[in-house]
Amino acid sequence: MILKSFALYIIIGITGIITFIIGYSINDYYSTDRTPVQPIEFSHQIHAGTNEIPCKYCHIYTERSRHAGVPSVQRCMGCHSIIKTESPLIEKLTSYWETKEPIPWVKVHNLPDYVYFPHKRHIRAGLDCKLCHGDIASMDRVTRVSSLQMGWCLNCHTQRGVKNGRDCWTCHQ
Amino acid sequence: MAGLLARIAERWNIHREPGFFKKLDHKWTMVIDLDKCNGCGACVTSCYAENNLPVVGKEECGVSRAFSWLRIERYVEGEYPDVKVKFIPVMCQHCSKAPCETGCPVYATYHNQDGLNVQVYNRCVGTFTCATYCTYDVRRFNWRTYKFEQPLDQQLNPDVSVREMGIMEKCTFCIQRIRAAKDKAKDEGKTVEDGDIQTACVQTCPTGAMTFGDLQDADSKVAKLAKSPRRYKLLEELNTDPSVIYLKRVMKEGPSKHG
Amino acid sequence: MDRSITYKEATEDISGIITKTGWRYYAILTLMGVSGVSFLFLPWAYQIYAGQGVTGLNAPIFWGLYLVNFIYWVGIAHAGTLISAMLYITHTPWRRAIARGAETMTFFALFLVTLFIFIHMGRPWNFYWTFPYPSQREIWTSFVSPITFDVFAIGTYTTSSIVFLFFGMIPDIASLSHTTTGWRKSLYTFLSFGWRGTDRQWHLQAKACMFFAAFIMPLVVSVHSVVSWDFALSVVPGYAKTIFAPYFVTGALLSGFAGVLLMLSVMREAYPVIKKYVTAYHYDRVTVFVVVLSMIWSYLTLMEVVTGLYANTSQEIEHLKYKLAISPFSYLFALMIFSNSVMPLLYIFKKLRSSFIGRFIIPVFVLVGMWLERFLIVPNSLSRKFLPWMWHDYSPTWVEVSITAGAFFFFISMFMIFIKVFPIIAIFEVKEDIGIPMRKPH
Repeated sequence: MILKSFALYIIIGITGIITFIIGYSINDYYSTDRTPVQPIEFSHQIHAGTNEIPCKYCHIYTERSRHAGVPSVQRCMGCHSIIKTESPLIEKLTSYWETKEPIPWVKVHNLPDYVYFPHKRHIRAGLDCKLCHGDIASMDRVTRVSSLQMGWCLNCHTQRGVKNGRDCWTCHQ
Repeated sequence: MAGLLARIAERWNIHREPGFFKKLDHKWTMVIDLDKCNGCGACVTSCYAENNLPVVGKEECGVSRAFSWLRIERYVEGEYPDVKVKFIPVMCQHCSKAPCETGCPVYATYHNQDGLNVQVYNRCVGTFTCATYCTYDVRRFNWRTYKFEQPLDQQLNPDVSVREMGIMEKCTFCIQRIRAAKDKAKDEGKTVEDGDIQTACVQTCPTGAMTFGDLQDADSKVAKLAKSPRRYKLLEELNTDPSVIYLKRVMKEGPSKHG
Repeated sequence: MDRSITYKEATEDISGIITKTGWRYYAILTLMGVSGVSFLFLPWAYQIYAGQGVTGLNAPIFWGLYLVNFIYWVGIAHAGTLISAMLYITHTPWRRAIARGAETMTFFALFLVTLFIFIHMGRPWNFYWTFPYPSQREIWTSFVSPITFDVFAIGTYTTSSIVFLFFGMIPDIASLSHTTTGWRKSLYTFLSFGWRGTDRQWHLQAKACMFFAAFIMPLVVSVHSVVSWDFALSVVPGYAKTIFAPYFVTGALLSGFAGVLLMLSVMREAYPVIKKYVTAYHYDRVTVFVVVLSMIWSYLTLMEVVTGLYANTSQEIEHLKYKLAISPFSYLFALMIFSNSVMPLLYIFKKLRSSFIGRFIIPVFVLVGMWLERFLIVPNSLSRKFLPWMWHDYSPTWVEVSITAGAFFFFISMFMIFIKVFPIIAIFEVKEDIGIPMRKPH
């Protein structure tokens, strides 16, 4: 009886620990919303997929800055002052334009402040946007496909043999 | 398993190559000519502005918690009016054999391929070991959460992270400027040249007392200055092998002319 | 041991300590528990919330009272290990009655040691980064760091101490499970692991204890050496001394034995029945250790100063001046010498060994003196480092003082709870002694 209960305790304990570890890692991985709802239901599928607009037409800073650059409202209005002006979503966009307010986009690929990630270096190294962002052209609402964890970064840096790619200060500031 | 072992063996062999630990991409060095230093403190101010250092106020400074990564030490010899005043700017010496690096249990401070002694803020757990081992007392600790109130947050440098409570930090030789210069050089398909990089203090120094450059580059300014007969390193006898070289101030006998 | 004690009497005496509880016990336990929580944990919570800025630490003095307490409690833990391991292997008869108490002290002192490591950290919620574990970030701990040595040393020490303490308790727990009722019975039944007292079980238990005693024995020396290397591996004037490892180990054993003496004396006063088992003979033996250790300690203290003088660098001289010639540290140094070198010499007089002075006054002096020794090493050396511009003094704030005091209260309350759950004197080992005359005191 004693031995039985002892074994029971051990089993409960081990199960608890394993559950904790699995739960913790799952939580760690999925805790942030991977497909947040945006203030305007902007569809990459229509723009990049159906209409085949290149990424860099809107995200203009990718090649010359740390940041890819969320397009300004002006860039949207460049086309949408003419195209499809009566659609309800475009009217929403126009209201932002008229009140002169930026659109409060929700960041999907959000890195912590202590990470230094230059888009420029990665694009100039000839990497495809899809490598990290997935097949954006087929996404109606953007989903984060990569974990953006440090190990994920390091894995790619190691495989490609980036010079000093494993030095802490290459990516941390 | 065999693959893992092969990887370990490969790494091991790389490190076993003679001279591996002496092979650096650059050896960033600063030369400070004490003859030219007049103790104005512009370097200290520029450091505050460049590196997002919090201004902690009178009380905290009173208990020796001033945040300046770079400080100007003043030493006065003799009694007034027959005095000699000496200034010496002291920042992290980026020792090649740094005592702090052996102290850190989590590799938050380590030596990188540029010959810099770097501190990874987000890895630090705050055991204070590095600061205790530091022979120059140049490490600063985030004793509290220092807030940058409006509108001061607008002047923060976006290339430098704002450190949170409980971690250690120190002079980085403006590593963000080194990174920017390397980035620019890479775009132009060159390597970094002498004079491309100026740390905030070097840029600000009104008398040009400070020079920054690569000691491995034999034609660089610092390499030439480092051959000066006035050269010395701070606490050289401890064999920490600092990367900051001071040029001794030559003083005449008699009272100093500086105020 | 007294031949007239029967086995039954021994069992009843010692289990009586567990079961018979007076109102004074509850009063003191409540007092200690409440003070422990309010002096230790509440200020700590405040410190975690507000940052290390609430302490008196500043730019050159980064290691203050927390590190002092850390080393101090490692020291207190040491006597338990020495008594349980070294004396177990040498079959010293007088260890039997006092070993369990000393081991318990070790256990709870190590608990505080771990606590103080967390308290002194800037970001204690990231403590697990100091363990080498595989993670997606592919970073490892630095094995050249003395702090990593500490993690392993303290980890090994705590684990093996718990195991040793528990293995030694199994027969006692089993015998208690027969005499108690209620929640105690089910607890003891569970913890006795089906102990029936067969020949084979006794044999295995003795073997296991012997194995762990042998395993722990090097730890007596190694753990505090490792702790001393936290300091000795630096280049700071007061720290960089090759003598530190033996110095710290000796100091640790000295404070540990003083702690054991004080603990035994208090226990004897609280539970007079213990006087039957812990006799003047035990005091006689333990105090001999204290005298010898005190003499070694005095020699090493002298040598520490002399090596500093012999180095004759300006930094060493400034450090020694600050420590030996400037008030208030000169007075603290004098008090330390008085309590650690002079007071234990009183034990040379045989009559004093088990007198009130020998039982209470001298151990308290040694405990205070050993705390001062750590204080004079840790923050004091940092006050006079290399560059005179950064010289600064250190004065602890109420948070640090409160946590230091709270640790003592918390230690006492944990110890008090322990003696009500587990036998503080090893029943079966005491029984082994009955009828066997110990070597007579001279």
